[in-house]
Amino acid sequence: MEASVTVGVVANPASARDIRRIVAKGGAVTTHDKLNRLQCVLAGLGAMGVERVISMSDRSGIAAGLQRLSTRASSESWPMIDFVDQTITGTKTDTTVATETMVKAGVGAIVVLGGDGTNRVVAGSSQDVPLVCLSTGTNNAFPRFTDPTVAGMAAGLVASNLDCRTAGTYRAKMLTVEHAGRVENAVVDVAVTSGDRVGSGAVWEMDSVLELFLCFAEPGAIGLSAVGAAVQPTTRRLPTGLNIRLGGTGDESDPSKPGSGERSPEQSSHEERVKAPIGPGLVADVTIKSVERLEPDAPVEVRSPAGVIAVDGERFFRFDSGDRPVVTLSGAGPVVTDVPAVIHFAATNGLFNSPSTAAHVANPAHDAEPKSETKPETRKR
Amino acid sequence: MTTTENPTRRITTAKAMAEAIGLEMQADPNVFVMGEDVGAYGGIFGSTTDLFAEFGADRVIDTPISETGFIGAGIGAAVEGLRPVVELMFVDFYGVCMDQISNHMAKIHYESGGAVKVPMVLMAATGGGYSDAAQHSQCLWGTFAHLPGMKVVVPSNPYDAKGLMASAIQDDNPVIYLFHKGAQGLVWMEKNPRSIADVPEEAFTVPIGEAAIAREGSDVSIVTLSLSVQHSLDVAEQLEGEGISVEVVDLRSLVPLDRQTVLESVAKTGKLLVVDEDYKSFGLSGEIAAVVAETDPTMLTKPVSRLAVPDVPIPYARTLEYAILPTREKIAAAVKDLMA
Amino acid sequence: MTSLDRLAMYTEMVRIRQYETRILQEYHGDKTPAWDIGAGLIPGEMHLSAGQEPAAVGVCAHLKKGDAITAPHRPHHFALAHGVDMNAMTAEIYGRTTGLCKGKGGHMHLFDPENHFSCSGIIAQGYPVACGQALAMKRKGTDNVTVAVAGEGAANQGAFHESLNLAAVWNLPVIFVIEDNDWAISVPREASTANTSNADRAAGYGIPGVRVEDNDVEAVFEAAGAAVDRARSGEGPSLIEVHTLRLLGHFEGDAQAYRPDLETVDERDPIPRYAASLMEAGELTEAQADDIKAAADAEVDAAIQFAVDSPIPTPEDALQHVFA
Repeated sequence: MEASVTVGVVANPASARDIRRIVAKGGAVTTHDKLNRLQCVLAGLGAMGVERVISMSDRSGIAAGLQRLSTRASSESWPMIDFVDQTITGTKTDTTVATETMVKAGVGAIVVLGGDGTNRVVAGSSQDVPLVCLSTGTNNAFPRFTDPTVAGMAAGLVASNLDCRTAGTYRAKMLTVEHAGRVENAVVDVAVTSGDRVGSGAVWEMDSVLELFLCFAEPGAIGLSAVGAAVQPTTRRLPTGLNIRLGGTGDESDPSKPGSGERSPEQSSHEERVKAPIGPGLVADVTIKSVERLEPDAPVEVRSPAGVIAVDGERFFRFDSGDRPVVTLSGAGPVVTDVPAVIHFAATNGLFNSPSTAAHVANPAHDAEPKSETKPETRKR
Repeated sequence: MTTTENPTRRITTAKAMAEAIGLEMQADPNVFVMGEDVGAYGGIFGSTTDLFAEFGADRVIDTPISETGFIGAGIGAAVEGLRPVVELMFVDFYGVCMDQISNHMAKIHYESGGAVKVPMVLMAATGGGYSDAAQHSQCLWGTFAHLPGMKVVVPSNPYDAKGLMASAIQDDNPVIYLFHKGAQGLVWMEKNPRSIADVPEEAFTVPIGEAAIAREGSDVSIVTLSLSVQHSLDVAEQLEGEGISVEVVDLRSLVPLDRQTVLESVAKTGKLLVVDEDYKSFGLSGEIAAVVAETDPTMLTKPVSRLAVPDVPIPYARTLEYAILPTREKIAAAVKDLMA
Repeated sequence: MTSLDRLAMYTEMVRIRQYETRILQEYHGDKTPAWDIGAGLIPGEMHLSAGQEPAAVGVCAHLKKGDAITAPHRPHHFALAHGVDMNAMTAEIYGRTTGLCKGKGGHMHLFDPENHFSCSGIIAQGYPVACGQALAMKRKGTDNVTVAVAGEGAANQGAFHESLNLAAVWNLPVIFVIEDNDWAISVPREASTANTSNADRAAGYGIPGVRVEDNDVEAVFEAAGAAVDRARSGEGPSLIEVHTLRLLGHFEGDAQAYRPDLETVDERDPIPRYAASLMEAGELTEAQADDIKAAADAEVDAAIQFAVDSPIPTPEDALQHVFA
């Protein structure tokens, strides 16, 4: 088989389904919404000359839906779609296995549909492959709002054109938390919470959050990073991050308790209280005890002797004795695509001029061409 | 408006039903009504006339067009001790909710070994005669009566409509209450004058399971129910002038069936005509014939005669529909055949 | 959630598992011939819930006196977790006069009005009934709630959709629980269902829908707690879909030849996994776990004995209870 431009797509079927639908006003991103956005992505990829797509497999109807849709005439302009031949577990492992398979197959970009959590998992295996991140989660600080058709075009350009890739991608920051041999990465935040169990995973009670480590804290974002944005905005391109110690919340987000968010007279002068949108419909009044800049590659021990570590808003593991977890910020995160920058570059360099398409422009982004022996890892449906 | 000197007045069957429901709602806060268009509209066939104004949206509840949902909800409410009166607009709509009716409403008491009661009334409009065709004109009482666990009540006149509704609401069992559209006394449908009659203003009950001798006679027994009672009475009056004495038995309920009254009448006349607007085969008319045959077939001086819908769907065109309905003319002819 | 909550949930899951393990054993123990499901002391179909305990236990942990449940054909875990008497339930399964339903219902039709528990063998048809119970609770002015349970296969029934709409439009205190065990008898959900997420479908009716992915009792506990609070405080219905596990066949006698995941079923069993997690956290010891199991076994033994010793209904009893 001839070398062709290939792009991977990972659509997390489980994103935007957790308890924050009930405890907050988390919206629904339905399977059909996800499928619809995937169709937009495929149209964008096809228009940029991408010939083959490798899609994650799932048992929630996304892969089945794509397969159904790809037989219709309206899908003529799409790339050919192969599905990763994987044992479906219904867990994060599916995303990891899919990403690994795509990287091995030499994809030029991976389009990710999910929230912060999904991107974190993909980032764990994406190596140097650029990600194009589309938001379909609950708290989305990592993926920016992007139109899926445009994202598909950008992914096609990045995958097929080295100049586009150089102009429009960058390596993101990452947090690594280590404890007792366990290593977890975060693309947005690490939180230390006072609970003692992992439970349903999501973090929505700010009372329980003791300490935050943030890769970035951009104004306009929602979630735990919004606490940082409220005290010290920090962009994602800056090398440093934030380390914030918290002292609980008032109940201002609870309308049944008016006035509870008022500044208490006992409050010590060095503490600061800020309002932060920590979840859909949840604006918390958070007490900030300290804010410190987090320097890259400098390990920081968490201050609490016990608690549960949450990564990108999701509780992961408990620690209560022995060594405390250590958090390190680094510049070793995933390669991420700045979609407007790619489109801008392509426009100013005539890459949208008909009849030229990206596939006619030389320089595939990846050195390794798809190898024929990668074929058994995917199956054509 | 109420006067003690004149405690009865002429009202329609529809108004009588609504009045009974209203009186039960006054007496028992657990009684409430739900169904399609039972609120401000007052029920498409008038069965909840004026109740919305008196009791409000909290107790006269308009439902979505979602029969499985709201009939099931009626069952759930009844299981919890309320006494819902639920309207299935046309009995023909049973197909979209029969699981709730047959597998749940009717079976829960038995399945639970008597532990759970389902005190619920499911009322529905039945019958044809106005060209509403195959899906809006059936009677189907035989179908419900065939399935164990529900009482089946079928009034023919305003007085019974009120008294049977009161009994149905007070009953601890699920009761299917089937009223004939042609007997409701609606202003927008051809009606028999018998659909408007004297009814006491105060609350009263008519016991479920007791047939009525609507007219005494000595030559022929017509065993019938619902609108066909009105037609049979008309025929009986007409044949009286021809020297034929017709007894009309109004069954009033199918479950329980008052076999005794049927047998006594047939023993007296020796001739039985069953008039039924439901389908002929495997239904009420066969059941009545079997009651007589199982007890003492020798009480009959002529074979049983059955006048029922001849096992075809109800057609649309007026000529076609009246070709299969048990009309006065056909009833009269059947009586004369028995007398011949 | 306290350590005591966790231990109580573990204990309840073990209690249910020991019960069903024993029922399984008794069910097959005396069938002559072995293939005749109508034979033996426990006749008829038998649908066991092993593997699905987290759904029942995590939800029922939040229920109180007066709260109702409508369960489907696979009801034992919800019945026991909701406080249905084990003796009376077992006697019913054995078809005895001391059973919940005097031997008229059997294992798919358990009725316990004291605990407002019922089940139906017709999938999803308990949903409308649950709406009605919730309507009654609301009308009576209590803060009681109703839990309606069905499997993911049942979510293609009209009754499911009609109930979600009704509960949303009337703001009823219902918690809809979907136990997604991947299999509607032999058909996987993606083969039968265009929108495989019932959290999505709930959203279509304006009802918050949550999917709990990993059959974890604590995750169910948290989601159900939020949903029950919401219902009690008059905020209306919620839907919780639990991605759970059917350890056994659809019914006893189902060889499951259609099922490619059988090899890994045991390693996904939620009960040993939960025990290990509690032990790791220092909240459960091996000795305690043994005691919990022994106590469950003793209760189960007594229930089976009660059932076996109970009278068999007479033929005349068949004609009773058609009408009240």
